[in-house]
Amino acid sequence: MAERGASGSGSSGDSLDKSITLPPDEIFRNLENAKRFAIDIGGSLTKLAYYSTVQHKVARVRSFDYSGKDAEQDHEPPYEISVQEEVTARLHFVKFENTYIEACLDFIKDHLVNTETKVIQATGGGAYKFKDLIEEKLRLRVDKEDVMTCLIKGCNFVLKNIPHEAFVYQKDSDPEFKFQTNHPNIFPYLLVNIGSGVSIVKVETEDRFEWIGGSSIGGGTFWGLGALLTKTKKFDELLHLASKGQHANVDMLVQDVYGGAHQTLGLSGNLIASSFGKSATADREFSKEDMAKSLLHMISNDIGQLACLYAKLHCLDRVYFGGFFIRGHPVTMRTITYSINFFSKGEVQALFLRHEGYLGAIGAFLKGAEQDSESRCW
Amino acid sequence: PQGRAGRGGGDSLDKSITLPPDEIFRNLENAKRFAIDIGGSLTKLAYYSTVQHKVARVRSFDYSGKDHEPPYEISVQEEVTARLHFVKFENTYIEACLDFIKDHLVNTETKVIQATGGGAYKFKDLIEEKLRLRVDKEDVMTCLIKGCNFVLKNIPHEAFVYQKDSDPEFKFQTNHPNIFPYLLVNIGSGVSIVKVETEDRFEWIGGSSIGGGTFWGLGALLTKTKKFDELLHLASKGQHANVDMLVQDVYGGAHQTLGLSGNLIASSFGKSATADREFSKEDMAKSLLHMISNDIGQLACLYAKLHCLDRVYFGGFFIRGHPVTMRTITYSINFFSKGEVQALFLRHEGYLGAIGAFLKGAEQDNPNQYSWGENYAGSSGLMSSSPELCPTQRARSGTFDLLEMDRLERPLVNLPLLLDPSSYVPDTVDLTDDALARKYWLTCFEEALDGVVKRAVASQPGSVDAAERAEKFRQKYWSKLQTLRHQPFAYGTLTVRSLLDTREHCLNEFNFPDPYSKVKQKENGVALKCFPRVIRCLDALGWEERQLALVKGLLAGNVFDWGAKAVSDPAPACSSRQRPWLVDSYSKWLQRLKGPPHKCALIFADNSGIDVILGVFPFVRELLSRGTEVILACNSGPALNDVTYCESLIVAERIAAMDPVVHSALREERLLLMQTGSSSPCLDLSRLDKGLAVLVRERGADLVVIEGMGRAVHTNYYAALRCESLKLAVIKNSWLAERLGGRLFSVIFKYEVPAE
Repeated sequence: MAERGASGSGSSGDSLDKSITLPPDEIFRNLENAKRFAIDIGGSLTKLAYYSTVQHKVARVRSFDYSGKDAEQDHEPPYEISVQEEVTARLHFVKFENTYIEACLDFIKDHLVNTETKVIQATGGGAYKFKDLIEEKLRLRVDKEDVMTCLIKGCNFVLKNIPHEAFVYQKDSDPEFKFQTNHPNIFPYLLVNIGSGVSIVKVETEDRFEWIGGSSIGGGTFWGLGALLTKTKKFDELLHLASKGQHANVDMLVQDVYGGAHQTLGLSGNLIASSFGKSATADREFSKEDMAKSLLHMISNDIGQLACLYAKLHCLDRVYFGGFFIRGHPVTMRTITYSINFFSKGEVQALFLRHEGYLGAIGAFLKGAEQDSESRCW
Repeated sequence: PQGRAGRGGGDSLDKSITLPPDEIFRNLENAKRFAIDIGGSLTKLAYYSTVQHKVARVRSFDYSGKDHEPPYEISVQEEVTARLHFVKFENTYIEACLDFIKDHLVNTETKVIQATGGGAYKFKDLIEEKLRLRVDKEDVMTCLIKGCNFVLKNIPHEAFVYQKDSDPEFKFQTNHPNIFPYLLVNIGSGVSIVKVETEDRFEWIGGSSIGGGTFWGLGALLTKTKKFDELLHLASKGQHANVDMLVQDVYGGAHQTLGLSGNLIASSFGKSATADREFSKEDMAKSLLHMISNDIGQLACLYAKLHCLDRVYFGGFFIRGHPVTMRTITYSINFFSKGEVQALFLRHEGYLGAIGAFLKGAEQDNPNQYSWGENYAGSSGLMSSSPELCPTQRARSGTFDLLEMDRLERPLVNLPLLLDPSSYVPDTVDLTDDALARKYWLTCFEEALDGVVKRAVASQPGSVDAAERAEKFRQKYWSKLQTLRHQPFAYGTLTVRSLLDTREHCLNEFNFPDPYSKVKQKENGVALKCFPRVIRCLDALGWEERQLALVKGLLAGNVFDWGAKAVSDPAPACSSRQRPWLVDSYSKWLQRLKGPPHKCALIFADNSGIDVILGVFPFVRELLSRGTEVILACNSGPALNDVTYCESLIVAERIAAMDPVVHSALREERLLLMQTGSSSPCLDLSRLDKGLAVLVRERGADLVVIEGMGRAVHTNYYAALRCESLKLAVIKNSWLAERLGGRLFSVIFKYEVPAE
C-alpha cells in the first residue's frame, strides 16, 4: 500500500502532483484490456477499480491413444502436456493519494487502447470535485454513485467472496490479528464507516440498509483538530505522532479526580475521566505526541461507544468498521475494540476488514457491472 | 469577575475579597450543620440554620361583646424556623470564605462537615485547619442524585426544557408526582450517565470522556483562553460552519439517500484538516461546543432508549445555563430520538452535590420527611442567558450565587381530588410566555409598592426601626422586580402568584410578618357584629331567593380585598351584580342544589372580615343544614388580608357563640377548620397540607369551593377536579377584567361537574 505521508491537500485541483513517474508494470497492470472502470475518491485517497481480461499461459493436458501395451516400458507418458493462451477475467484495484490523481488519469488515458466503455462509475466525497477532470482526461462520462450504497455493496462482496476478510484485533495476542471464518449468512450486521465523519448503517439484506446514526466526530476531526494542535498537516504523520504519545499526560484519569478507582461506580483508576482535562488548567506545554494520542483515544473511544450502543439498540452482535480513519492502524483498532468491549461487556464484537479501503470502489464497480447481470464468484 | 477558572491548588487563592456578610453568609451564627461541594472551579457551601422570625399571634380572650373591644388579641412573638442556605462561589475565594465562616461560627455544636466533589480531597486540609471541623468525604454521585431527587420533589418549576425559538427560551415543567425512573446526565469534566430508579437505587450505566473538561482543555489549547466562561463567550460569537465540514460541503447539498440535511455537521473540525488558513478563536470554540454537546446529546438519547426512559435531566458545570449548550444538546436529543426523549435542565443544577452532601450528613434529622420551599427573597435565581442584557446581575451572581430553602412546618402533598396531578398547572397565565401580561403585572406590582411599604410601617407603630426595615424591603422587592423584568425565568415560571409570594417572602425577611393583622382584627370585629343581622335576613328569605343571596354574599364579601388594585376606596358598587355574570353557571348550581345534598364540601377561604364572616360562614351554614359536612381550609401563615387558620379558629368560636347551627356542627365535627399549609394569596393544589389531604380523603369530599381572585382566577381557573367544583370571584382589576372580556367588578361564577 502506497499511502504514506503526503495527505493530498485534496480538494482543489491546483495542488496536484504531476511529476510522478509511474511504474506501469507494477501499478496499472493490464490496463490495455480494461473493460469497465469505477473510481472512489475520498478525502485523501483515490481508489480505482477496473475489470480487465488477462492473457494467461495455461498448461493443458491432453489424452492421446494410449497403447499401454508395453507396460514395463517407462518411456511413454500417459498424456500430453501443452502450454496455451487463455483469457480470464480479473478485477484490479489501485489505491493512491489524491495528489497523484492527475498524473494517474494521464497515465490511464495513454494506456487505454482497447476499451469500449463510455462511462466510469464514481463515488466518494471527492467524486463531484474531480468530475470535470476525469471527464476531460479520460473522455468517459462520470456516473455518480451513492457513497453508502457502494460501500455496502462492497462490504457484502468482500464478506462473501474473500476468505478471512474480517478480523478481530486482540491487543495482547501474537499476532494481534485473529481472522474470522466467513459466516454463511452475513446479514444482519452493523457497518460503521469512519471517514471524515462517522456513518452507522444497519445492513439487513443485500439491498436493504438503513442509516441509523452517525457522528461528526470522525477521521476529519482527528485530522482537523490534530492539525490545529500539532501543526502537522498530514494524516499519517498525526497517527505516527499518536503512536509515540502518552495520553495520560493530557487526559484527566479517574484516579486524577478521585485519587484512585471510583468504588461506588466501579470505575478503574486508569479510565479516562475527561479527555484533555489536564490541559484545561495546567500552565504548561503539551507534547504533540501526547495530544495526538489523547485525540486518537478520544475519537476511537467515542466511536466504539456509539457503535456499541447502536448495536445493542438494534440487537446486533457484529460491528464491521471501515473508512480511512482505521487504515489498519493498531492504536485505533485497539481503542475501538477496547471501547466496544468495555461498554458492551463483551457482548458486541468489533470486526475490521482487510480491504476496508476498497469497499467503495468495489461497490461502485459492482453498480456499474449490474447491467451485465452476470453473477459470478470471485 | 465571572470566569476565573480556579486553578485548584491552594497557592493561587484570592484572599483580598471583602465579603458583605448581610448578603452572603447570612444567618451563619446559628448554623447547625455544614456540607461543602468543591468542583473544578466552583465551591458550593450548604448550611442548615435557624431563623428567628417575628410572627403575629392571635389569642382569644374572654369576650364580653362590648362595642369597642376587639374580638381577639394580637401579639408579636419570636418564632424559630429552619432554613437551608446554599452559597456558590469560585474556588479562588475559598480561603477568604473559610476565614469568614470561622469568624462568624459561634453557636455551632457540629464537629464535622460533609464534603463532596472532585476538589474535596484537595482542600481537605485547608478546611480542617480553618474551620476545625472534621471533613467527612461523601461520594460524588450519591450526593448528586440525592440532591437531584430533593430539588425535583421540593422545588416547583425546577426542571425546564429549552426551546430555541420561544421567548423566553425556558419552559418550566410542573413537578411530576412520581419522579422515578429518570436518567441523569452529569456533565462535569467528563460525563456520567446514571439511571435513577428509586430514592436510594441508582446505577451508572455509561459515561464519556468528552465533557466539560474536554471543552475547557481543548478550548484552552486552541484559543489560548484559559477561562471557561470566556471560552463559552467566544463560542457564542463564532460560526461553526467555518471550521466544521457540513454534509453540503461533502455532497454539495443534502444527502438524499440517507435523508440528511445539508446543514448537518458531517465532520467536526473537518475543514481545518486540509485548509491552509487561520481559524478564528470564536469559530473554533463554537465548533468545539457543538461537537461536545452533540455527542453528549446523542449518547444520552441512546442510553435513554436502551433503558426505555423518556426524561433526561442534565446537570453539571458544563451547562451553567448557557443557551448554546442547552440548545445543541436539546437539538441533538430531538434529532436522534425523533422527539421521543426529552432533554430537561435544572434551575439549581449547580447545587445538587452540595444539597446531597448536606442530606447525607443530616440523615438523622430526616430532612426528607419535611417539605421545603424555595425562599424567593434569599435566592439569586437563574442566571441571565445573555450577559449583555443585565451585566451587573450576571457579574454578581457569577461571583456569589445564593439559594435558600425554608423548612416548612408541615409536609405538603397533592389534593387527592385533582383529576390528573401530573398535568395540573396551578397558574392561569404564564407571564414568562405572555410578554404583554408580564409587563402589565410587573408595573402593577411596582406601582403598588409604595402602598405596601406604608402599610408595613403603619402595622408596627411601636417599632423604632420599622421605617428603615420597610425601606430595605422596598429595595429588595424592587430589585427582584427589575431582575424579573430582564429574566422572567429567574425563579421558574413567572406568574402573578410568584410575584405575590416573592413579596410575602421579602416582607417576612424584614420582619413584617403580618402587616394586615390590625386591619384584619378590626374588620373581623365589625363583621362579627353584623353576623346575627345577616343571618336573620337570610333566614327570612324563601329557599330559592336565599340561595342567590348566599352566593351574592360570597361575592360581595370578596370585594373587600386590600390586595387588589381597585379597592382603595372601600365602598365599591355592589350594584353591578346584575346577572348574567361574566361567567355564569348559577342556574346549573341552583338546579344541583335541588338535588341530594353533597356529602362533604371543601371550602378554601379568602379574605378576613366581611368575606369570611358574612360571605363564607352563612354559605357554610346553609350547606350544614342541608346535611353536608364542611371542611373550611385557611392559610397557615399570613398573606395580605387573607384569613389565617388561627384567626379562623377564633372567628368560628365567636360565631358558634351566636349561632346554634355552627355551634353544633363544630362540636359534632361536621364542620372542621383546617390549614392549607400555604402562606400565599394564591393556591397551589399540588402543595397542600398533608393533614388536610388525609381528611379530604377520609370524609369523601365531593364538592370543592374556591373563592377569590388569587385562588380561583390567578390560579386554578382551569384546574380540573374529580368532583364538583365552584370557583367564584369578583374581578377587581380592570386590566384582567378586560382580558377576560368584562369590566371592573365583573363576576366569575364557575360551577363545574366532571365528565362521567
